[in-house]
Amino acid sequence: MRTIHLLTAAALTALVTASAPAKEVTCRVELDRSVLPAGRPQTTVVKVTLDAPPPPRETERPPVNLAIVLDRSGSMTGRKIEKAKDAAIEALRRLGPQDRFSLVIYNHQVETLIASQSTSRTEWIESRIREIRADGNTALFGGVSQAAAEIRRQLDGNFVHRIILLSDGLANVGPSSPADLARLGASLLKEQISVTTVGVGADFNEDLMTQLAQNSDGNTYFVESSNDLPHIFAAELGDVLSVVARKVILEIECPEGLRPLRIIGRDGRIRGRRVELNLNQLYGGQEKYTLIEIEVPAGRVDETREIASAHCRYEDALTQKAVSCSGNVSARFSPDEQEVLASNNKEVQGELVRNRIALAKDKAIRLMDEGKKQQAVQELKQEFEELRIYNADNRLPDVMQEEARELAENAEQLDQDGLSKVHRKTLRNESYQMRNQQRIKQ
Amino acid sequence: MKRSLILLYWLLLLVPTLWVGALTLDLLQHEEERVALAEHQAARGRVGSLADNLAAAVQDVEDGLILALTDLGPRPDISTLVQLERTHPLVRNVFLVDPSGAVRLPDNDTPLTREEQGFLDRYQALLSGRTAWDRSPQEDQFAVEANRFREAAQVDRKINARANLKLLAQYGQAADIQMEAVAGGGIQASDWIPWFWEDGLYLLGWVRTADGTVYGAEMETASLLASLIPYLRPPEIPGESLALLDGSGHVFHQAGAFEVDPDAEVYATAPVGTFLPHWRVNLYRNGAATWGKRTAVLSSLLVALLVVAVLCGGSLLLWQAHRNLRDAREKTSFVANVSHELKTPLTTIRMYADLLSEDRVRDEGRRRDYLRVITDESRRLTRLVNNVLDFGRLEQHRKQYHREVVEVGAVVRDTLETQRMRLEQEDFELVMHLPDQEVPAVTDRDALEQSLLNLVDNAVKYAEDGRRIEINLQGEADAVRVTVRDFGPGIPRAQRELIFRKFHRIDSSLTSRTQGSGLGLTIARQLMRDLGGDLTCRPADGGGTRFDITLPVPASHEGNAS
Repeated sequence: MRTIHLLTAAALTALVTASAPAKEVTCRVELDRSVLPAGRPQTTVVKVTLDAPPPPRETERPPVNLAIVLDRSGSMTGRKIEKAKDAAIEALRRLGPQDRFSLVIYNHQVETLIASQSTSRTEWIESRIREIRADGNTALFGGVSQAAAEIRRQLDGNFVHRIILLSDGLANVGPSSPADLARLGASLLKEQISVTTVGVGADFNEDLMTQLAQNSDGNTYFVESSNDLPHIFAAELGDVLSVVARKVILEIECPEGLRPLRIIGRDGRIRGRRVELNLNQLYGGQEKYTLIEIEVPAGRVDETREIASAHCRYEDALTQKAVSCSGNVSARFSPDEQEVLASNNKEVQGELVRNRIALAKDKAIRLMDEGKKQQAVQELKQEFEELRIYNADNRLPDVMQEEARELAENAEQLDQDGLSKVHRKTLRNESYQMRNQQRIKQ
Repeated sequence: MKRSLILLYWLLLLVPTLWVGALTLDLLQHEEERVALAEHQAARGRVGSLADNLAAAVQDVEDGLILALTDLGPRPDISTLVQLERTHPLVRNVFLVDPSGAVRLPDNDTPLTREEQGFLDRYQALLSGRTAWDRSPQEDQFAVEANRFREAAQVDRKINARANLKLLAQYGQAADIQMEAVAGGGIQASDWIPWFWEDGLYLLGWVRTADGTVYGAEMETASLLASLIPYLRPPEIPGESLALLDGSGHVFHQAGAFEVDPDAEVYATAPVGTFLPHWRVNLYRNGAATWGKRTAVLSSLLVALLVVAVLCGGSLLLWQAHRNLRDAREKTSFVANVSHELKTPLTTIRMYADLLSEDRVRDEGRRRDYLRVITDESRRLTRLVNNVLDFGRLEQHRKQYHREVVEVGAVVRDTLETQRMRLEQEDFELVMHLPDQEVPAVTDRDALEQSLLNLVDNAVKYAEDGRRIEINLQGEADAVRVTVRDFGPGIPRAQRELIFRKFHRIDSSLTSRTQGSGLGLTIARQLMRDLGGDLTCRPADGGGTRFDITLPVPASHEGNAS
């Protein structure tokens, strides 16, 4: 009974928060189960979700400051460079007169083909793009740096800053390791510049591309055929154009006695009882969430304790005003195992399973890189087994089991064929897109 | 003497021209070297100033960050440090070590992020106290700056102007800061440490407060380096490329006309300095940049061409002068000869005419002889004058011909008949070999006659002891040949073509004894050639000389051999 009251209260709260002014981001805090077993310490998982309102209409959106970085090294000759040019023009056509566009091309050298400017001269810009020819090596770091310099020409103002990086190969001029590009991404994020990476073909370094995107809170795509490039760029532009919140900072605090143990699937900082995450930006209609594992001390029977409270600060992309929202969640302790089971929040648990699947994929890649194939296969199978038990214990719907089965299938494939370049890219991307709630997945 | 003068003139032309040419080439080579040197200096200057710009940029960033850090002092708040790391694009990690040496930031009590753990691993030696914070024994900021300035100067071998200026500007400030330190609670020292870890360069800035707390920030090298890239613009000179190389010698960034090969020869280089240790800016050139050398080669070629042109022109002029000289000489001798030749028959005519007019000759036979002589001499005179006139007309291309088909045998017979008497008198035997049938040819009758007469005259004049002249006529399929052969001393090989030259007379005792204009053969050949034939000279079998006149056959008779 109490469970129902609690659930109803939660639902009403949710409704209340949902019916708040339509343009604001709302903060939802949920537990994987609202009733916890009493009398023993345990861990529980908190899901904090930020719901962004639906995307604004065309005329109301904030202006976009876009820089495209195109790889024109020798490996891009032929169809690839033609499709890349189509994609860039596709992106250009989706911008409006209040937006800014720049294009940096790189091989072993870096050149600003179109300096950052408003998009009024589209024919001229298009003709310049058409002239691009491919040859030479790959100075990826230089390309991104130059694009950032172009973006900085309009750093003041209320623009949404985005770099789209296209590459089909390995960086071999300048800093070329994933770590280097990861640091660049992190630094760009502080300037509110996000880098979306598009990898074409099977030869680019997906770790580099995903880490650059991840650290700068951009999207990442793996495109096997260059035919898909224009479609990807167009979709990405759709995303960029619908930013509703920027500089999104999420702080989650646990009351005395409770301790956050780890953040599942995201990077953030745990200081004492506080967790700080930088979620950078939210697109219209997007649901960005984070899962925190929290250590809960033993609770007395029928005691209700607050487990976590979340506070979200952000800047409204349209009005540039600082806005905040918050939420919290409590749990009740009960000795009744059935009651505990019935309080399962299957949605939260489902997301937990998905994140664990994503993390397992990353771990498998790492182990395969280290040459420990058997261990990788074993880890995947073990995780699949544990998830199977978890799903069964919590009576999660069958679809979760099928999703977990992916791990078993991947384990089989690794065992038989090893980790091909394409497979590795697919795994990496799936994990990234899952953990970052990327809207456009492939 | 005149000839040697011309040779002297030629030498006067040759020697200075060659000398000036050699001097110019030498000058050009020096100029090329000088230009190459200047270009190299300029390139070194450009590379040096670019390296300085990069160093200045890094220094500015470092100074700016240190300023931001010092502003947080003298008692820095951990949360503001964290805020700095969260918001400043150039700050990668922040740290704080309390006076007891314990690391308070990153906080070991909470789970460390991967980044924080990495930071602690990197600077383990520093944070644990194994390595000193200060890079120099002195601890005050002023001395630290001075040491940096000194170090920079030692590396760059020239005064680091900016550091110099900075020192000056900070003169008063350093004193203030020291006073603050004395007052208690102020900043004691600060510095930047270039830190090497696993092949990478990291930059750590730190500030020490009076109470011994050390705090600071690790620079986001990726962001710093990314902001250096716009400094490396492609060189404006075609054929040049530059590259910034990191501490391990890998190309960090390149710009220019061609892709840089790290093993290629470096045209100019400069180290960036203490702010990016072991980093350097390299400038490379490819073949396209050696236009300076091409210009040198081109100018050398032009100079050589000029020398050759001057020598050729000069030689031609001198050659022309020589020919003019020779022509003048020949004309002079011609005039002398013609005058003499005109004079001799005129004297004879006058003499005999005088005799006849004075009625002193009684004998009818003698009178007839005298008249005959007058007639002959007149004819000879006429011929001579005609020759000269013809020569004039030929020279001016005004000679008119009357071409017709003639029976050559008849012409030969008629012409020689007129000479028979004279030949007999001079004790010459004339033999004519003429075919029975007609031998037609297309020619000018008078011209043929004149040529034959010229040849006969020569045979008579230069026969010496050989008192026989043979005339031969042969009609062949494609030409008619008339041969006049004498039995004289013959003509030396060297002279066989020269004798056809105008005014030319073989210089021998024989010709000095006889009169001649030197035009006879010239005219005869020119006439024959104008009419489609030729006149040639060959030695005759059995001594003497033979002259062959060739005449063209009429078209319808070609193919009929006689």
